Formats: sequence, structure tokens, C-alpha cells
Amino acid sequence: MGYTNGAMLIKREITNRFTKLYYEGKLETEIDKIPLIISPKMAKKPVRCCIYKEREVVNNRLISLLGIPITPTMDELMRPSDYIEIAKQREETPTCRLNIIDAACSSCSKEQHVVTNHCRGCVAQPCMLNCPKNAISFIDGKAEINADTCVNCGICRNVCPFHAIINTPVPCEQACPVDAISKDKYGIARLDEDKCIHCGKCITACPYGAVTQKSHLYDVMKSIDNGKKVIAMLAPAVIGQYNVDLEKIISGVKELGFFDVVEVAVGAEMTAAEEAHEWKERMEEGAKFMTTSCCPAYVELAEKHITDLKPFVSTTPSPMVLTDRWVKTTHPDAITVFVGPCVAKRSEAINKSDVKYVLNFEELGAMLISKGIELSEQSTEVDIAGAGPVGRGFAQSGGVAAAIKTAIPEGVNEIIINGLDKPNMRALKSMGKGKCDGNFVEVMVCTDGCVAGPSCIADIRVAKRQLAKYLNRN
Amino acid sequence: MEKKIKVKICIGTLCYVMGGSELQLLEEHLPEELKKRVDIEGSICLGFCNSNEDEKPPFASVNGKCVSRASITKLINQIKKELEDGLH
Repeated sequence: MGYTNGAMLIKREITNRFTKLYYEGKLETEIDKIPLIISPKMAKKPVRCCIYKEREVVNNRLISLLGIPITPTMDELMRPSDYIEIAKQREETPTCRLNIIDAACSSCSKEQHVVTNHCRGCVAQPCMLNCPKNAISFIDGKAEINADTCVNCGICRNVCPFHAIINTPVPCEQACPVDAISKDKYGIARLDEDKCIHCGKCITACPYGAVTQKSHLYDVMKSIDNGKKVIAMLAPAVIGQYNVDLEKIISGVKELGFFDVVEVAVGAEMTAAEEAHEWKERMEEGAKFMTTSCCPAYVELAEKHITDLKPFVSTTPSPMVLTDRWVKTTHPDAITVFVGPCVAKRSEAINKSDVKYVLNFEELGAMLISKGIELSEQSTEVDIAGAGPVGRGFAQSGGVAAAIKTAIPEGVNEIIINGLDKPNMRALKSMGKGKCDGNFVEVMVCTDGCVAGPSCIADIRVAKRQLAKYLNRN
Repeated sequence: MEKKIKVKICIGTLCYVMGGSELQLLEEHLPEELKKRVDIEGSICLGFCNSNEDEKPPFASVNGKCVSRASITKLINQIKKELEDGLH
């Protein structure tokens, strides 16, 4: 999260209320009241068109929090409370598919370039003269764009000396790096699961908060209540998130009732060692380069879109998977929960690992708040299994390459793909064709790495600083 | 010696989750002329979150006055206002 975002804050508020009711034992009886509390009858000014629409969106969010998919065909007479029984009985993990809340989607109009009333009809007329499609004409001394011929190339916008031409994008479509979002015939966004790499960029981009993911919160809290051995595995990025020392975070999370709390950074160190070994072997076999495999959105990108890259992707299991295996050597009966900033980890956990549930930092925060656990007041007297800077460094861009270079001081010529913007997409595509200037490619789909993941709660500058404190420690 | 403006920033988990993390950076974002006139301290729960449903976290206070949905810009404006009011 790069800036304060009202859509996100309201989501968090709903999540907080949801977990609070759960812990108070009032979820069944009071969940349906949450929409009325969030959008009360005498609300000063509803943000959407009316309070009834807002309530409908909140209802959908609550259903999503129960791990139920929001689909266009779902029974509209069902209230959130009607789904609790389903969630209670459920043994399987809710799937990772992202859903659009129809009521929340604002059906943004198609991307277009518009001449605003700041156009002064200047003598230079660079917009008209430089338009490659002849889409601009001057009518009554003002520029006008012909929407039928305009291809949204943006040249007119760049050359206008008065910044009078603007581009109105569709935020979710613009954010999606793989064109997985398009509009249905009603103008509502739809996600193509065959294309989606679960990077989560649309979740953060949508100004209406219309993209939602099915939560595992209910399942995790239920498993703990049922006396199951639930073990939380905290992603390395957790260090930057709550503004307190890791020891305090761990003891706070333990208080939620988890049987144990471990750092995924431990598994990251195993990944680093194994991946270094694999890289060496591949180089000896004459491979041109190898890419990392710890970013699950990148792995899905290679599987679904840039298939030429697939043979170059490391087969070393991710830190999450290795942490899970390590935990299960001592606790084979444990239910493991990955806690991180990532949307795609849900997909990896469900489809490619034995990790049962995934929570994000917002959801973990909601649990802590609702239980009244103040992290800064927690004890620092906890045992940490002993991950070091190598494992913890996986949380930020450059960290995996640094870990490999620690293992193999010479010969690694790394390329860092930091984020999935257009130039990096092009670079990856050409790597698939064998064009790569390095021999080790680290890919993170989120710019800056996991510390800037879609479900992070801390300001990225604060998070990076906090992480740096740990990486410089010995 | 001039009395300093006292800024308290909530460092509780709720305020942090609700977007309060950037307030950690307040000190370095203060304009030079304000730096010496302000005392910033962190505090666990300022007690505002339970007092009024209309006020939203993250919370901070400037000379005891509540600032809700606090941001760096909002706090700097409030500090300036306090300094101005102090002159009258």
C-alpha cells in the first residue's frame, strides 16, 4: 500500500468488526448488523450512491470473509449469517480465485483521452499535428478527439503545452499486467481465471475496492477454537509491518492461540542453499541462466503467459513450502497457516503445497486488535528459531540474489526484475527467447518485493527501514 | 523558553493497521522552522477510538487536541495552527 486509501481502510474496518464479533461469540447473531453500523440510516453522506448500495457491498465483503465466493449467480436472498453454517462445516480450504463484487464495481467507462476545458485552442495545435490517427480536429477553437479513431496512444496528452488533455483509464485493467480483466456486457469487470496470476494489483488499484479474495480467517479461528494444532508461519516481510520487534510480534501472535509461531525466513535459508546448489548444477550442465521460484505470481506468469521461461525457473521449493515441511517433521499433525503480504501465496498454498490456510497482514492485524493484543506491550522473551539476514532478506527486491551470492561468492551474474511493469514484462519475454545478460534472474512481481505486497499495512518507507535494522544485525 | 507543541502519536496496533504507519515519519517531514518547536512522542492508545464512532483511526493529538484520520500533512497543519493560536 503506497498511500492512504479509503477503500482499503473500510475493508479493514469491516474485517476488524468481523473478527471482533467472532471472538465475542456473537458472529451468528450480529454479523448482519455490521452493514447497518457501517452505513447507518442517518449517514451524513454515503460515498456510493446511497446507503443501501453501501450495505450490499458490505454484505458481500462479509460473505467473502466467510470464505464464500461472490458470483453473479449467487442467491441474493442469502444474508451473511446464512453462510456461517457452511463455513463452520467446511473442511476444505476456500479456493484462491479472486472475485468481483458486482455491487461495488463502478463500471468505469472505457479508457479514453479527453480534451478538458483548459484547451485554449493555441496556434501550435501540437495535439492535432502529432496525432498518428488524425483523430483530432479543432471545432469552435477547441480540440476534439474522435473516440472512434483514437487509439489511446497518449501523444496528444504528452505534447499539449497546457496539460489540457487527460487520460481516464480503467484502473483495474490498467493495473493488470496480463490482461486478465475485461468488462462484461454490463460494463462490470470480470476476471479470467485462466489468465490471472493472482498478483493482487487489481485489488489495490480498484478505487471502489471491488476485487475481493475469499478469506481463510473464519477457518483459522475455527481450527484454533476446535483445539487443533494450528501453527502460524510468518513471512519474512512481517518484520517491517507492525512497528515492533519481531519477538513481540511472535509473542502477540502466539497469544491468539496458535500452537507455535515460526518464521518463514528459516525456510528461505533452506531455499537459498538448495537454489544455489541447483544453480551450480544447471550452470555445469550448460544452462544459460536460471530464475528464482519464490514469487508465486511470477511462477504463474511463467506457467500461464511466458511459457518459454518455464524451463529456466528453478525447481527448488519456495520458503513457504520448505518451512511447512520443516514444521511437519516435528508436528506431522499440524495445520499450517502462512501469514504474509501476498495474494498469490494463497494460490500456491492451495494448489502446490500442504499449507492449509493463508492469512494476510490485514487479517492478522484484525485478529490482534479484536483480541485486544497490543503488540508493543508484548514480551520479548520468546524463542526465535534462528533465521538470519539471508532468509529475512527474501522480503525485499535483491534479497534472493544476495542470498545466492552469499552461498556462491563468485560467478553469479545477477539480473534483478523488480516489479512487473511494461519494460520488465518485455525483458522477461525476451529472456524466454534465451536473451539474458546474466546467469541468475531474481523476479519479484511486486515493486520493492514482498515488503510492498498488496496486503501490507505499513508504509513502504517505514517497512524497509524496520527490515534494514534486522538485515544489518548479525 | 518557549513552550513546545506536544504531539502524541498512537502506536497501538489498531491505529497502525488503519494506516498510521506513515506517522512514524512525521519528525523528518517537519519543516525546519518547526523542528525545534515540537515534541513528538509515541503512545499506546490515546483513548479516542472508543469515545466517538464518527472519529476514525489513526489517531494523534496536538497539545491534547484529537486529530482523527491523522496524516503527516494534517498533523503539520494542526501544529501550525497551534503555533498561530499561541500568538494571540
